[in-house]
Amino acid sequence: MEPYIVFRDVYKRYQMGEVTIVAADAVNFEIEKGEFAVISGASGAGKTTVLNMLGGIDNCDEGDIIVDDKRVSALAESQMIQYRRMDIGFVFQFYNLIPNLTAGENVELASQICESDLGAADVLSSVGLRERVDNFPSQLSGGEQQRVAIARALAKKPKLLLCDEPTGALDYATGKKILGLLQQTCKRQNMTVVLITHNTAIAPMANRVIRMRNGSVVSADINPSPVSAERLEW
Amino acid sequence: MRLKAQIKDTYREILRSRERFISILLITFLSVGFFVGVKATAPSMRTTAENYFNAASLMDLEIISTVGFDDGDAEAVRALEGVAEVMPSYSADLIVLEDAGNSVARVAALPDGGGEGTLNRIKLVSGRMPEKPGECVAAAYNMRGADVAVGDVIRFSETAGSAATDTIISGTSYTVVGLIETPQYFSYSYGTSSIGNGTILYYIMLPACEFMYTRYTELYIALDRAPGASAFDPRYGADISRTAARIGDVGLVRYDLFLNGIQARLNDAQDEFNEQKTSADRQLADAKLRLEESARELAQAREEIAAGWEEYDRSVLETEAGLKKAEADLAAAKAELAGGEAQLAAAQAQYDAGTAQLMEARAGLDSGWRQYYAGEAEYQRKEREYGEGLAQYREAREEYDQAKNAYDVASEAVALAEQALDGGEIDQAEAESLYEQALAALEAYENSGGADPEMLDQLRAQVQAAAERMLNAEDREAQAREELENAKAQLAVYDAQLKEAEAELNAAEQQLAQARIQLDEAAAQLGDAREELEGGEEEYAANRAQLDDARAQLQANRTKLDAAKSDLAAGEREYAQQKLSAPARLAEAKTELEAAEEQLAAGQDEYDAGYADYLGAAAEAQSSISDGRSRIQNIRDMFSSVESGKWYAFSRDDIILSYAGLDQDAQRIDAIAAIFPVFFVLVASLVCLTTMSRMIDEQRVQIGTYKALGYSSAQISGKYMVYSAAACMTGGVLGQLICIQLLPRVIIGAYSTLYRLPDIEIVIPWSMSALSMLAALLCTVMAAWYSCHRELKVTTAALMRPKMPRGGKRIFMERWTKLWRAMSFSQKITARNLLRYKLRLLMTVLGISGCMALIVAGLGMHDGVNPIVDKQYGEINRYKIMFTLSRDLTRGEADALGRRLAADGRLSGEMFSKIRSVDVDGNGEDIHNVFVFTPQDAARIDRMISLRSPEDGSPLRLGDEGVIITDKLAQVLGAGAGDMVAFSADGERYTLPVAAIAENYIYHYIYMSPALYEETFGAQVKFNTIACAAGEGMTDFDGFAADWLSKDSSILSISNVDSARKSFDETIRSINIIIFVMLIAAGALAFVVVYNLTNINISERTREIATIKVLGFRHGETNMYIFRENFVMGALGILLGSVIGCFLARFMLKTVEVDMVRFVRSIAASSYVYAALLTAFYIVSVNLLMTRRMRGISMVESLKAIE
Repeated sequence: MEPYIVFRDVYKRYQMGEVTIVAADAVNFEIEKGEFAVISGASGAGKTTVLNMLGGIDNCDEGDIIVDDKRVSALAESQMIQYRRMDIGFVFQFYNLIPNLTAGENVELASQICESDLGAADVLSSVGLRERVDNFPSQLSGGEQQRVAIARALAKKPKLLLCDEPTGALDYATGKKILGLLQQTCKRQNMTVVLITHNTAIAPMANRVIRMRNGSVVSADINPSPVSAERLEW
Repeated sequence: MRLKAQIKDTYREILRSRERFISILLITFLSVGFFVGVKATAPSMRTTAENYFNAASLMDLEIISTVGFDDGDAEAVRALEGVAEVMPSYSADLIVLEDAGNSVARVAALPDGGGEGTLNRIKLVSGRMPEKPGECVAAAYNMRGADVAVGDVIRFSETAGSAATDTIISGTSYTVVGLIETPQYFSYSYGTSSIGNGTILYYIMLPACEFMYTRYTELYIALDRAPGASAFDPRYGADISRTAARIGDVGLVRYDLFLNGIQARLNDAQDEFNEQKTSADRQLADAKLRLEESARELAQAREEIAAGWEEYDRSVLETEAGLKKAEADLAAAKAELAGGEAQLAAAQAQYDAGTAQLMEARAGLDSGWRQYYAGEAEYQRKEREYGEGLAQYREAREEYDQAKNAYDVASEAVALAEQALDGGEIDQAEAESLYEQALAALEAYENSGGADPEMLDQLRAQVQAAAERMLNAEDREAQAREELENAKAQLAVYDAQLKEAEAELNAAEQQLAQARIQLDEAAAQLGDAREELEGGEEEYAANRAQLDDARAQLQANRTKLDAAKSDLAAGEREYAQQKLSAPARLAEAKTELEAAEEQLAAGQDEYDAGYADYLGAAAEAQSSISDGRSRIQNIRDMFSSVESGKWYAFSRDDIILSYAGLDQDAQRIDAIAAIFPVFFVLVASLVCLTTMSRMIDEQRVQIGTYKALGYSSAQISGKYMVYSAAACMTGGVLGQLICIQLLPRVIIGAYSTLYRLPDIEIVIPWSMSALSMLAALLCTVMAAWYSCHRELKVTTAALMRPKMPRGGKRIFMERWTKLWRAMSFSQKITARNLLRYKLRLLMTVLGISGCMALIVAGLGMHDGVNPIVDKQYGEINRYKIMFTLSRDLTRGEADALGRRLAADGRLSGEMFSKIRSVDVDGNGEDIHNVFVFTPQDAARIDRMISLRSPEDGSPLRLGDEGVIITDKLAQVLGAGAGDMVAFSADGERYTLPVAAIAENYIYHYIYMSPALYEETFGAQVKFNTIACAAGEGMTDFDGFAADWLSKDSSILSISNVDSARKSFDETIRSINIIIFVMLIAAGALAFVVVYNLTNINISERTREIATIKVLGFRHGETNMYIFRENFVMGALGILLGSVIGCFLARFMLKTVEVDMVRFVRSIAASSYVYAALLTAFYIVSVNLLMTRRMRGISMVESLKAIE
């Protein structure tokens, strides 16, 4: 059986004037279902490119991206939208909540577009924000906003939860709490979580750690004993 | 260097954010361009007109005087300060004869030479100038239906109003050899005239020598003017009135001189007259002498006639006496005759008595004869009776004889029967004997013992036969006996009968004898009577002869009397004849006398005539003197009264049609131009503000960096101010360049149906141009500065951090929980977003409402303008044909003509009316050309003109208590029902109450009932027009018109309402051009606003859009996430725009409305619908354009850090 997520010789090149930047240079890795995978690397290592391609936000120029036996790399635009809509939950570094919508409404924004939606209030309470349903993002702290973002991603019951530096804009403690929430979600819901970070300190909590440098995968290790998020230190 | 770097930075910034730059540029382009473009229209219009007038040296003043002018007057005016040029000229209105009716032409003199220095220079458009007598030039531009071409022959009527044409111009027929343009008429109308139907259709120019006038009819004057001074300047008006006043003063002096000249001539005339008078006096004296002589002769003749009359009287008396005598003679003869007649009558009576006696005798005789004849008849009857009795007797005798015969026969029969009986007895006896013999034989035989049986039987048979024979004989005897008995009985009967007959016979014999005796007696009597009668007869005959004699005598007497009578009759005839002839003779005598008298009278008449002549001559002489005196008196009066000795000066405004109208049109366009900034400048500044603040928001970090690097606030904000100023300047300059060239041409072009203007000269309104640029710059730069300033207040460190996104807020709508819950999720988002950016909402709604309002106003104007022609000529004026009469008809004449019109199947009704043009006193300004309309019958005016209330269309009644005025007039006057309306006609002022206001669109009318007319003007109403409705048979209007014009000389012209309607229609529709400009402007406004704001919206929310794309929103969903807001704003804008548009349309209609026209004030619902659809179309178009931009937003944006 094929692994749940497969990247096989994936290339992504950007043309910047006369210079061609190879953002993804023969990326190869696999992630199994239910794993908590961390892709780490320095800035410009190509991890965001990989995440974008995995999340259907960007196309690859070459190679295969397979998610749950679906060749994402070969999807047409409308199929790609459908893929994002049904299969992907995205958590942004800057939360990207709609400022003009309450926490509950932000969750609803996602849940209303997919079939198997969960109640916004339920999802929010699952991330511990039952009381903040009617608050606007500006009334929430960064951690709370990120929780709302996670709730928004989870509301769609995605196959994959993709997180782009979810702790990047958060302080240490809050970041750890968010990581804990993600780990918990992964375990409880058997959700496949892919998290990118430049912070190598997060790696120990992952089932699988993929390290990247200059657009290529340097190593892909399976961590047989991931530590819990609370015990991370950085 | 620093500055250079900054300029470079700004330049790059512009290139980088082209869309932003262009949006500011466009809105400035539109607002400044439209405003300045429309503002340039009025000055361009004025300048074009003015340059044209200047080039043609259009006069500034025209002077008119009741007595005309001479060269001295012209010189005097020329000598005045401020007067540059004076050109005397002639003009007159004449009637042109045409097939379809008569029209009025204004005929003016061509300036001599036509070279430099003359005024009102004409321009030859085609053909040539007149070179020979009988040639003329005509104005090339005319109202429709009065086109003139080179080669046309203009024929003038013999008379023009009260004047004869040959007192005005030398000929009556002129050939058009050229077409011209004159600056005096630059509209398509030549105004009105006091003659004909009042509308001048042609403008004809003739060489001045063709005019028969000895004095000029007008002076054209040009003023000294500073170069470049405008005739539309108020100072020009002041110059005009100052010069006019001076000219008025000169006029007084010149008038005096004129009068002096007249007086001198009058003095000469008087001298001449005096001379003539002396000779006339002499002649009169001679005539007087002659008259006296003839008076004497007349007296003599009169005496003779008197003698004649005396004789006549005498002979009358004589004749009378003679007649009387004859009368007496006749009477005597008559009396004699009467005596004879009486005698005759007595004789006659005697004769009559005799006759009567004779007649009596005759009657007696006749009765005797009758008795005699009766007796004779009786005798004859009796004789016949006797005859009859004889016959009876004879008959009885016959009967008797017959009976005797019968008796004889019967007795014979008895005898026979006795004989037979006797015979029978013999037989019996024989038979008995035979029997006895037989028996005896038998016995014999028996006894004989004869026993032979046969012998016995035979014997027995013999006995038997004998017995039988004996028995038969016995029977026959019995029978005979019986027969005898019978015969005897018969005989007895006959015997009785015979006896009876015998008795009868005897009786008859007796009777007969008696009758014989009587008869004989009667015969004797008859004979006596006859004798007696015959004696009577003889006596009668004798008497008769006697009477006949008497009769003859009587006859003779009568004959004699008749002769006498005829004699008398002859006498009487003679008398009668005499009696008749006597008067004839007398009459003859009388006639002779009368003839003499007539002669006398003739003589008298002659004398009288001579006398009258004498008197007339005397009176004439007298009146000539008094004429002269009154003329002198008039002149003296004029001297004393300044008023009547005035010259009248008219300015261009007064005298050139549409001159004032052009200025007013220009003002109207200016007023419309003022509307544009209301929306455009407001929206433009809002657009700039949001655009710039957005830009500065985006470049927050950069600003912070500059600030951190040590740039001053001014330097930092300078960049953005330069940026915005550059956009604004570029847009403004481009807009002005294009719109100033384009808009005046389009708008003035629309007026080309009203004014005949040369090519448009664009005047750039520099001050407006600069001002609008400045305003636009101020708006944009201020917006830039303000946005910058707001940011720069914050500390540098804060600037370096990303700006905290504006927090979401609960909106007021959420308080209505029910409503909020009922809204869908996307509706909630839209509502929140709309209210989140209030400025943008306001701006978009304003921009869209501006667009909507402009479209509504444009369509509303269309609604207001286009139906009026149909309403006026279809609903209000129901007549289709208008007759103009050459003179006013009385009611009787109108009725007669009306009956003839009614008989024409091509018409279906007619109404005579009186139309009078009056001036109404408006608020400080006279309203000219108001028509007082008086129908033949006030109650039936609605057949031809629908008088109805403008509010609800209910019909109005034209009563005698007041006038009905049309609504536009009421509006101009500010008058309503119950107010008074004052107007002047023929120099008199009248004030009447207004009874009601009537709906009307074209021209002003005052409707007045005939009774009120008569009460007001104190004269019977006479009719000068006929309004007619066309009937079924009206197929060929020209034929109809020609028919009636030839039929009736009182018809001056016949016009078809449809042609008037058509030309008015075309004129009024020129406004549609303005509407078109407005639609374009509206579209541009909507486009720019919606495009710009959507652009800002999208760029501000790029992150949001990218995020929802990442979330998996489809294209449509993503688009709607933004555009739904636009649609809501669009809807709001349309709603607001409908309200604003309604007011705007009203304002514009009021502004654009021409003097004599009223537009429809209501905007059709469909116009709102179309406007809304058009606005929606603009919004949707912009949104469709923006979808590309939406698609272009990369999802990667969502991952970027907040700047």
